[in-house]
Amino acid sequence: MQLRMIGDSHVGRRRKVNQDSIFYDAKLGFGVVCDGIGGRAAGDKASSLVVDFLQHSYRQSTKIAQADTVPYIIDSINQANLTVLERSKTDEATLGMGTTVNCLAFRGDKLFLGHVGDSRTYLYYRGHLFQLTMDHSVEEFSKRGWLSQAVLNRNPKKDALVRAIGLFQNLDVDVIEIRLREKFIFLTCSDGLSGMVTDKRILDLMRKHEGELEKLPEILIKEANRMGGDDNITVMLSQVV
Amino acid sequence: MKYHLVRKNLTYLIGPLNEVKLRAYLVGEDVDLNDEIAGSCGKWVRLGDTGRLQKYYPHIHKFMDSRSKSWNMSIHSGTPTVLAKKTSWKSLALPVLAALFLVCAAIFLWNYKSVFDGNALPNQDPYNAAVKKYNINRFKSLVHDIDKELDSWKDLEVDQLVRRQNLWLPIIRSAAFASQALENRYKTILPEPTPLPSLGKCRREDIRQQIRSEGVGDMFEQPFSRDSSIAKLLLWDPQWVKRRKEQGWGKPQNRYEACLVRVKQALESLPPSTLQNQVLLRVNKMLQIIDSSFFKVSPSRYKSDEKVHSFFGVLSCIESANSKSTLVSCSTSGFEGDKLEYLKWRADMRLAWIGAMQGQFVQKYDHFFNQMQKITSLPHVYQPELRLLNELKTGSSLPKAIEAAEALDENFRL
Repeated sequence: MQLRMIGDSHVGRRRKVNQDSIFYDAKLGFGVVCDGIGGRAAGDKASSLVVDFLQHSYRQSTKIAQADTVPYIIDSINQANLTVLERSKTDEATLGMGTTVNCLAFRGDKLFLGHVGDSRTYLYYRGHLFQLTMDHSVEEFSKRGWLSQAVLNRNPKKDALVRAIGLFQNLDVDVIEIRLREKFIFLTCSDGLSGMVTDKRILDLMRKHEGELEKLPEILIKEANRMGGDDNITVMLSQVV
Repeated sequence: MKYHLVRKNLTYLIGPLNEVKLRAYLVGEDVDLNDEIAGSCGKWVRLGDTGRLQKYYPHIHKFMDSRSKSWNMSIHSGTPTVLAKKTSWKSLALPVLAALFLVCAAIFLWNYKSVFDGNALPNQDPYNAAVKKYNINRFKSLVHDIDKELDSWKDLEVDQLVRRQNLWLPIIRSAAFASQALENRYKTILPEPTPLPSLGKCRREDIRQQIRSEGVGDMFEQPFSRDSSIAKLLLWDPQWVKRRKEQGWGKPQNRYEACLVRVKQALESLPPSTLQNQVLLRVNKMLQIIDSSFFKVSPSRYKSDEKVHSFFGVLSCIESANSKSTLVSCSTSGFEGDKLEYLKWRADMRLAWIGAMQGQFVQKYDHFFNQMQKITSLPHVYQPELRLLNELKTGSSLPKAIEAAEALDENFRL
């Protein structure tokens, strides 16, 4: 199977700084999207640090067996987390910086998706759209009954993150595994897209422009801006051909 | 043609499946009521959540209903998932609820403390919400499901077993935590209300049956059998439990130690029998090693063990060895097959740790290290231990490796 990847990032309409970062390389079979946490200092530094760390780490690890990819991803995201924590202590301006991460590793006939935070990866297939990642947010966790009322009372902000890089030393990383098929298109995005554009609208746009992968990032970003552009918007598409 | 995606353990995706393949999956052996399903732009719904399934995927609900699937809750074999919707809020009238929300929101906004203040949001076990409501039938079904989960482990290899335990224990902990809300007959088995985990079969009748049954008996006399939940627990490496410190725990220091305490208490509440004594001896040995108090026990006491050459006697010997010469004295003669292989592996692990403690981690322990890598490189792994092993393997000195491990958790100990 061959892989095509394309992506883009935009500051949006209201923010002055783009705190999202993106990397993708179809030959390497690897892509990362990070969204620096707004409300905390130096979100852009955190996101770019993690993107750099993970892509460099992955380049040196291409000989890892498919069966070992899951522990590798968990370990490298954990290492990235420690790096961010360490770096954040060096300068007052970066103290407490944090970011989300979605990293996609295409190994053989499978995709391994490492995820922390509320950036998302969707699967588009034959006119269907499925959200693969679960948001690590107060809202999602409380819906699943994973947060007690006492915790909710202390953290009323529904979209606050319960997991992100740079928050705590111990980090729980979700790694999702799926067997690839032809015509799979994975859409990885920051919440600048998913927070502004409904899933149904994303689906409509993807159905309409399925054959124009190279135009889709721009189309989706434009739609997010049209709906308000309240946040930075990053979109990455990976197509199995 | 409609497609659906199935998610197992919150991590492994199957599909997308068309309608034919979905039906085949739903009636197949792999299906689990804790699997989640999603349609295009749809919500993820657990198969066992009949209410939401009917709401969001009525065609699937209808199909499953017609196949007379069991609608009892099932334990998820992986990462815990919520099993029931919270119902407490629905019992409140909407205006009251809205008013309460506004008041709370005002108070919380006034006293708002950023969630990013460095304090970890506790990872709540999903059953807490349900069992807190003092629903005895619900708890019974939970324990039943825990039993079912244990039964499904029959054919697992040891390392797979450890992985499942890693993921499964938070559920047990949550169920046991509700013991204070249960009928009196459970209180005689379960200890005082503390947030301790428990093995699923901590009912008096079940433990008695279990230690009389083939499972535990086989562990001592016959070919290796993993049919017993108690037996699985007895296989835990107490040295590994000892090294692990989990946030929020004091003493016991982690859920594993707490689980052993619960089983010990359950066993002690039963009328004594030879077999029960042997199991208790093993559990006590494990707790002593974890507590480091084992070394205060004189060797002669250990040697007076009835079954000094029994499987668990040898295992305890291996686990308590602090030198190569002591380790060598733990004779594995008389064992064969997978029992012998297992003992050799544990001896290998202990030898490597002895070497590490003496600052002599030898690169040749690849087998041991690979095993540890497989077991520990999972979600919910204990990172300091993994860091220590990685440091040693790459040639760091022991002090440096310990320092690196402590950097992740100052409570970590070798």
